[in-house]
Amino acid sequence: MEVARSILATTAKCSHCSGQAAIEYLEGGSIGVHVCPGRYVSRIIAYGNPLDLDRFREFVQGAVQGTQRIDDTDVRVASRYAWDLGLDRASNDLILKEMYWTQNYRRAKSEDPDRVALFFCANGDSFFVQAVQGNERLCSKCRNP
Amino acid sequence: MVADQIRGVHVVHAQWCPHCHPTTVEPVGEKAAELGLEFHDYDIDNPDQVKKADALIRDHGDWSEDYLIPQVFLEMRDGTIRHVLTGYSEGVELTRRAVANLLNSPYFRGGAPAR
Ligand SMILES: [Zn+2]
Ligand SMILES: [Zn+2]
Repeated sequence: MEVARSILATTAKCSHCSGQAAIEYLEGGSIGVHVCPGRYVSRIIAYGNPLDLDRFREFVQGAVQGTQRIDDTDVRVASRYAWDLGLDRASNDLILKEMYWTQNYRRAKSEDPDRVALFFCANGDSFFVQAVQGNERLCSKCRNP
Repeated sequence: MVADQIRGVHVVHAQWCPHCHPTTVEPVGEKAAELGLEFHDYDIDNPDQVKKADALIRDHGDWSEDYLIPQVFLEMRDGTIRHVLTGYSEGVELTRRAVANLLNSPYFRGGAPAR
């Protein structure tokens, strides 16, 4: 699981600033967040076997607070095996599953430059929302300690 | 699981998706041809093919209402279907690597992985 997660820990191009989004972990490593230097969240990923869709949807719903409604349709699932991860394992069984929530994607897609978007505090403690163009990198708790 | 136990390969894809084209469908199709395996691809934007794609993914694959593509399945000679790969939302580079890993795995090499 640890090895698999490190294979999955790639950087990705941020959809809001074209910078590089790196992965940061939460919940003891069972959740990964793709976040750029501006702290915009492009993707939230759950890792595990098995995975609980309801729990993950609730987690994302909590992160975005009341700014949008997260449906089952917004979550996508993938199985990762030894052979496609490139792990040389005696067993070829399932290594882990991933669930993805992608911000501003398909059903929830908006081009509104003033839309409210999800960010992740630079101190790594919590999610917060602000206008997608916003420059804030800290959650309200860290801004006003 | 060895290559000679595989009858065919099935891939669910979309023409517009960079994880599918040229990353997955082409190399998997070429490998299938090289090994003399049947190759079936299902375009989710084709009204007839999407029905088969949905059934394959619902019964054997990584199903979610708005499921990820590509997804690759092996059809074994005994008729069983095995899901072997789903595209990586983390990035096309990971999908590319996973396809290469899959095509180099014992499934397509002919050696049997210990189980
Ligand atoms: Zn960004
Ligand atoms: Zn904070």
